[in-house]
Amino acid sequence: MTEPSASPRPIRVSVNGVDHERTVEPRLLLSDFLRHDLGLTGTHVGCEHGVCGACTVAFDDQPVRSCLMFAVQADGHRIGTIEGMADGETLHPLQMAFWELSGLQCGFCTPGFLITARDFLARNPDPSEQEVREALSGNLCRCTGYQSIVAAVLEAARRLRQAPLAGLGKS
Amino acid sequence: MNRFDYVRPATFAEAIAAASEPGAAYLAGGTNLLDLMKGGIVRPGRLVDVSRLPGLGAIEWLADGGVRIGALVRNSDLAHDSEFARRFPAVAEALLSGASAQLRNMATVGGNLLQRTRCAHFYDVAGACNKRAPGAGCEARGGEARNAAVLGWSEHCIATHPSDFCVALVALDAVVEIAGQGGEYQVPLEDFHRLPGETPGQESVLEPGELIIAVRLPAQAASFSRHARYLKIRDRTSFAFAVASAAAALRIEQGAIAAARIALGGVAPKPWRARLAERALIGVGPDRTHFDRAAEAALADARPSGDNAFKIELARRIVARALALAAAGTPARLPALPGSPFSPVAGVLHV
Amino acid sequence: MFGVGARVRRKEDDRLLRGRGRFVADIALVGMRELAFVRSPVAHARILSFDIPEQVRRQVFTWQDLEPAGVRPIRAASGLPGFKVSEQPPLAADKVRFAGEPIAVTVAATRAEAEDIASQVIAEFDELPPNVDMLAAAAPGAPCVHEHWSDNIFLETRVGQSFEKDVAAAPVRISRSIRTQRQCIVPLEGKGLVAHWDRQAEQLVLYTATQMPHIVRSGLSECLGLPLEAIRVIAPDVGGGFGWKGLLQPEEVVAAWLCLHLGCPLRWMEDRREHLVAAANAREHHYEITAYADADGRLLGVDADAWVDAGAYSIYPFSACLEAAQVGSILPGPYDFPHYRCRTFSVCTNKPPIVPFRGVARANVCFAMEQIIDAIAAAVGREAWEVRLLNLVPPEKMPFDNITGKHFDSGDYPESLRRAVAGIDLASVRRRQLQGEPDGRLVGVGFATYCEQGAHGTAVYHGWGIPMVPGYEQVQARITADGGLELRAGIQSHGQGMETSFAQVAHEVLGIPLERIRLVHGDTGLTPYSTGTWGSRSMVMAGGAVATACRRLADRLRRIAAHLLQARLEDVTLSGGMLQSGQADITIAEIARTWYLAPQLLPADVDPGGLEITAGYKPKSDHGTFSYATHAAVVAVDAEVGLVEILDYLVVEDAGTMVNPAIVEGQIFGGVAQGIGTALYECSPYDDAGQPMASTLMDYLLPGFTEVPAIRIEHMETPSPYTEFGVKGLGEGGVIAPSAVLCNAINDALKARGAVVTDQPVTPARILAALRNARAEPPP
Repeated sequence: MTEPSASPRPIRVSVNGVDHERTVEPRLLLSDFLRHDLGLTGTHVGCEHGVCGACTVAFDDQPVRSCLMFAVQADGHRIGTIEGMADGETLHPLQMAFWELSGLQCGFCTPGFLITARDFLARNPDPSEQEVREALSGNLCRCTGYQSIVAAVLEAARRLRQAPLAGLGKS
Repeated sequence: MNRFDYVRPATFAEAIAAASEPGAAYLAGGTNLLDLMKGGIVRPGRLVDVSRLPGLGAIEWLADGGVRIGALVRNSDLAHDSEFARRFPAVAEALLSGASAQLRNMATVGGNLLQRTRCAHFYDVAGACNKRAPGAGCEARGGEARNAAVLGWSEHCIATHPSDFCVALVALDAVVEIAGQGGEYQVPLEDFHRLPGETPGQESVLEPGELIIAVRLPAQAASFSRHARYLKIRDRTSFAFAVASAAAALRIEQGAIAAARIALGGVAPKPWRARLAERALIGVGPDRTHFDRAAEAALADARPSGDNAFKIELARRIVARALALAAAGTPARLPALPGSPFSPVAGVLHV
Repeated sequence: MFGVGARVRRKEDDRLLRGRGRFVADIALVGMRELAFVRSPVAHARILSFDIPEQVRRQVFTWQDLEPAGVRPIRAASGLPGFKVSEQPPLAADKVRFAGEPIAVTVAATRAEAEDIASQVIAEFDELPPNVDMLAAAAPGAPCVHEHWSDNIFLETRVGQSFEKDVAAAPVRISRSIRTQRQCIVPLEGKGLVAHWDRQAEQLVLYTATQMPHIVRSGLSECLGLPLEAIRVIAPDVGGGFGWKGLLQPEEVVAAWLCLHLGCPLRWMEDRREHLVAAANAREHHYEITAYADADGRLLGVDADAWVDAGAYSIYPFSACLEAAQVGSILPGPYDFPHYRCRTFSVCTNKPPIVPFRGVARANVCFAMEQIIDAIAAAVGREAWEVRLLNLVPPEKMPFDNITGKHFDSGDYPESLRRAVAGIDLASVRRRQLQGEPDGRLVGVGFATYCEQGAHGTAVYHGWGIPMVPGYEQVQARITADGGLELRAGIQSHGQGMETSFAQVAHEVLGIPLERIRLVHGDTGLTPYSTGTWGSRSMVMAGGAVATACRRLADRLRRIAAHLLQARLEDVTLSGGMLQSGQADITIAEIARTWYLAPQLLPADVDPGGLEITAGYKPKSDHGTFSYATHAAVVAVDAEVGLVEILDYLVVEDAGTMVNPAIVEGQIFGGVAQGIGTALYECSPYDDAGQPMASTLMDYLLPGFTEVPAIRIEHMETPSPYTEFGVKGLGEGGVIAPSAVLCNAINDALKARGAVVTDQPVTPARILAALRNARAEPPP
């Protein structure tokens, strides 16, 4: 058993397929770990209390709020962030659909939407509009009114059904 | 957020020993605990991370047809387990109507039972709250009380329990398995949460260091699978807590109700089983008149705790409607908006 | 294809989609320390003392540290006569005036440590009675928020004269009390800043999430006593603003001073609780309106008193009375009627100050006025749209000066209404109401028509008394040696896609490909002065300046081309980035190379300004542009539980020429969603002690995916006669009408039960209460 301690402790986390070893204070949030310790600032912090969804990352392939997790909880796990979504310079079909169908405005909430939607389409490749809305209802956007995001996710789903390998990201 | 000791025990015994110290708290998914810590509403000096304890992450089907759900099973894994959803559809619907997909992916079964209230005064650390600081007073009492209790409250606390999952569980006679320094024991979920009385800070029967290890649903709970729904009124459909909700499950035999299970959420300090209402339905036909009568019985003891008399009538309507939905039959597929009154009803024209 | 009117993909999206944007929280500087603010837990109190543990004393700063160093309070005086000036010390001096007001700041290596220290700072207060409700605060004898004032009124304004005798015989008289709620603005990115001292430039550099970097610079200069040239303000990628990022924040002043004082870079990030309880709010109004009409429903006069809860302080630069002053001038909406009187009160309360939130005042007056129109229609027994049609300014009167002197530039307001009535299929909704719904819900339909003044000119803002009056908007345009184009503008694009739409304008004029056009914005060190992005002004004003600058560059290119091609100037044309005369042609890149690298080839009389221009622009009319729209919605009200489902939502809008229709539609979709939030969900309530009760996004409910329906848009496109390409401001329009439309639709649904709702947000509790009241008092 580990001795209780508020002092920093070592963790190892795989982020976008790359292993990182760091020593962190127990109260460090996963979101701050990604942003400040690893410099992966694409994960945005919108509310810090688990409501807005901007900080969503994939935790062992499942979308979670990185603002409601301690970095120590991620020890030994796999994390996927927006930085791992494109295949090099080739955008993921969801990213392309968001671009072409105006699925973003200020872009602050966008990484959280993309991570959430990627997981959703992996589980439900041919969703109805209402299913898309329900699945993404844990993410808030203040700019788009959601309509273009729904359209983009449905369009990406269509493209992914035609070319499913295009959706493989690193995590 | 305060600094804390972080402990990652390898065994139950280590966990229980570590968490028995004053100021210690268990950490599993952490979705509620972290939020409370950020607001300074709770300030544990030690977190005991039980998320890696062995043996708590399985959904086990018991020989008698019941199910044993490990305390660390994630809300999403349980709701999306097709066998579980088939046998206990109201529980799955309740789970999926709660929080958001990302939270359900992290939140655990055990943690769901231990959620703290969403009362704004509990969250307002500048104000008085008996739950947060015993004896400080209750600022919620008598004020705008849309989210406050109408059943089971006391002068010391009118906060509600926020869980959806527990409402469906308590309706179906779930049992909580607990491990502590004195060994393991079990408690019906209905008795697991305490009413506030004069000690609203004591929300459950758990003693310091005690740990939920599993929740069981009896085989009989699956006998309601053809007529079981969860209906939740919330101020928005996206990620909101219940203003009032109801789980309703019926066993209908030859046109009459043979057994009924009803529980309410959002209206009481704990998931609220409505046994009188259930009894009122035995042997009668599944029709609106009887459902209304059952709803009356469910709220017979209700009284406003502030400006929320409307909630009593609202809760009656929700109970009656949940019963009507249950009587109409469990949908073959979970509705796209679980628990929502907006779920398309046959024959309604949507523009 | 890529110019004005093209639906092109946005240039800014590639970086944003990859998580490569640079928001202020992403900026980390060597040696940077972090700040946390200690905030007042009480709404109204004298500060008696601070108890600061000795071991952290040097990491805690209060007004006792800032004032002796010469930091001045924030002052935003209105030029309107009678305005009472509030002084807001960026850290409270001897008194706190709202819960959440910053009273001390702490500095540490990390934010967590700064917050640890903040939690140890204890202030002792002598509490005073708080002013929580604006009507009570405005009443005689209320305790004064600013103790040296005689009452709690920042400003009273009056428009028009009493006209009772002129309408004494009016057959229809409708009176309504209407209340709108206090709202938070909630861009997904909160405020935040990084401050550092640039030793080489000898400048304070402030990265801050703002819509108006130049104005923040002016404000910092006033508060810190630094000359403007010693300050550089940079807005990096900004995650939405909607008005909340259009002010000088006390936190910016404190951080800037501390940076100078401590000599190290500092960062502060607003957290969401701070945003919800301590940041500026908006939109809390109360109306007492009486309208008079003839038996057909033709408006004869409108008489109104309006109160705006302006909070504790006047914010910089817009002041505490912009919202109320606007109410007086825009309440008549798109209607033409002969008599009008309006008094407004900007009331000072013990709540956070207010900023102009997208659709400032317009959303509220539309909510009030459009309810009145529906009530008149009910009184005269006509369809509400018919009464609207009767009163709208008809196209043959355009341009039209309305009763408060607003100059409506162009358009066909009645046509937008007629198309909305047809598009929403009113007849089928009426049939459906007669049939009843299979699930027992009540269906209703509502309409609202409004006009939206945008890009208001110099005279308009001078008339509203704000201390920052916009003049000519300037843009710098520079053709680079390889034929690219750099645009520099003092506005700030934070979701509006101006890196794209401005490039489209430049491309339209010069033909340079979009990928070779780059907009530099949001940096006082690199751009001409601008009041920034607010008031639906950037496309009209800065976009107009882009066009002007590019036209002048085109002229210079032609002159050089004429010399190089040995052609007459009048024979040289510019098209597709190519200058041609007869068979001879030369590219812009070749001319640029000549200017920069082979100047010996230039004509002797070449303009020595070269391929770089600063152009200033104002539209031909100083009144601002007038977009307009009719919104229509069908709702289903569940009378058992009070919930509203929006079944259909249609926008018929005319914002003049669209530079990029995809961006225009995005602005409308997003605006309507925010308007739905205003209509049904969002509210920041305060208890009797002045404590904010919505401190998380679980209490302050934004509309989510399942709350915002698919919105249909029909475009009309009447070019403005006064602006470049005929564009009109439209950024705020979407948000103006939804609360009026939905309220009218809900009332249309409830009328079968004799119930009426008048206050926003129209929550389930209000609907149920209205139904209960209707049962108690059967309709006459």
